[in-house]
Amino acid sequence: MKNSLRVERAIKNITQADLAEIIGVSRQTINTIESNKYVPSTVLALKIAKVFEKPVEDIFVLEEDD
Amino acid sequence: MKRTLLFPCKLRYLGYLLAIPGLILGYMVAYQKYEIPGFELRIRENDSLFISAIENFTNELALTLVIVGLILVAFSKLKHEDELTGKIRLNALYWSILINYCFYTLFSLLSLFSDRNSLHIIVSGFLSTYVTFTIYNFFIPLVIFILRFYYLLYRNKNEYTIKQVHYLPNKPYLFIGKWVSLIIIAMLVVNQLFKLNIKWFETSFMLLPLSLLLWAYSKERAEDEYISTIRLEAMQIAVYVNYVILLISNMLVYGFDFLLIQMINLVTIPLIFIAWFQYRLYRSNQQAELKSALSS
Repeated sequence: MKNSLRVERAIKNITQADLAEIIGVSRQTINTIESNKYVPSTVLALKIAKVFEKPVEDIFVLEEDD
Repeated sequence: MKRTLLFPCKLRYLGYLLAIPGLILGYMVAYQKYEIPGFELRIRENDSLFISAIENFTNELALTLVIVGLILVAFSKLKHEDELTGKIRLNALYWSILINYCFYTLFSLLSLFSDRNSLHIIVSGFLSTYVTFTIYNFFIPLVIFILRFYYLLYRNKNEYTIKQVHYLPNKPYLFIGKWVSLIIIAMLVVNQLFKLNIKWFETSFMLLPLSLLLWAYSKERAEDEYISTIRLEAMQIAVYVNYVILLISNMLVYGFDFLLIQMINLVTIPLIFIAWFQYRLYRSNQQAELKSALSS
């Protein structure tokens, strides 16, 4: 699975630390998700989508080998 | 939504405060024969062959400090605890139990051979025999876990290191692990109940930790995300229950009898894990069947 978290953050102009603070996780967790090394739980994905006011599918996209 | 079964963040520091003096005291008890003067009770009328009437509690104190301390260090929340750190914690735990039993294999092989040739010269000193390993087994799993967990968290400043847990394929390992374990347990029980005293029945115990491990680290037939989650949680429960039992028996059992506890402790973590994991699987299958019966 890949995601456009970094792009979304740039559009909204918030840092990893800001986003982490809003959804109650650590900054390292946001970074690990952004580098596509960790697939967040559905709860966390929904929280992230809520921050950017977009559907989850706009931010998280399945890849072919998933 | 989710229960985490962790201690509050601040208790980690208390953990260091208990564990470090505990380890120093433990070292002095084990290698310098140190006993806190007067820290003792007369617990029996007379001395017997292996048990003296007066019990000094220095070694019990050391073990309690070490275990409580390390448990607090290992299972206190991080400052920023979230789902990923929780996941990394459970993965590290699963991995460290495996590594602990690799050490177990190594040292039981060494102790088997060291009786016969000069190998014991190489390994004497520190962990030389099977029995000394059982003492280390009390806290080594926790130490390996703490080192692994911090390594995964802090190796890279900006992100966490994620390592997948690898399991053995379902076939044939689950079958082998399960049946070898059950047969050994049956042999040990029969040997005890009927007082057979068959030597190789007793010796087969040395194999039990490994066969249980094979069972615990093989995939279920339909292993999926949900089953993996239950699996990792079950390991945490197993470690907790194991140490509660150990702390209680540390206070109640002394002298020669404690050797038995040391031996049993070699198998309790995988044994409790398997029991709890199978129970959870059974429960979730039952619920699924109930729901499908209701909806049809």
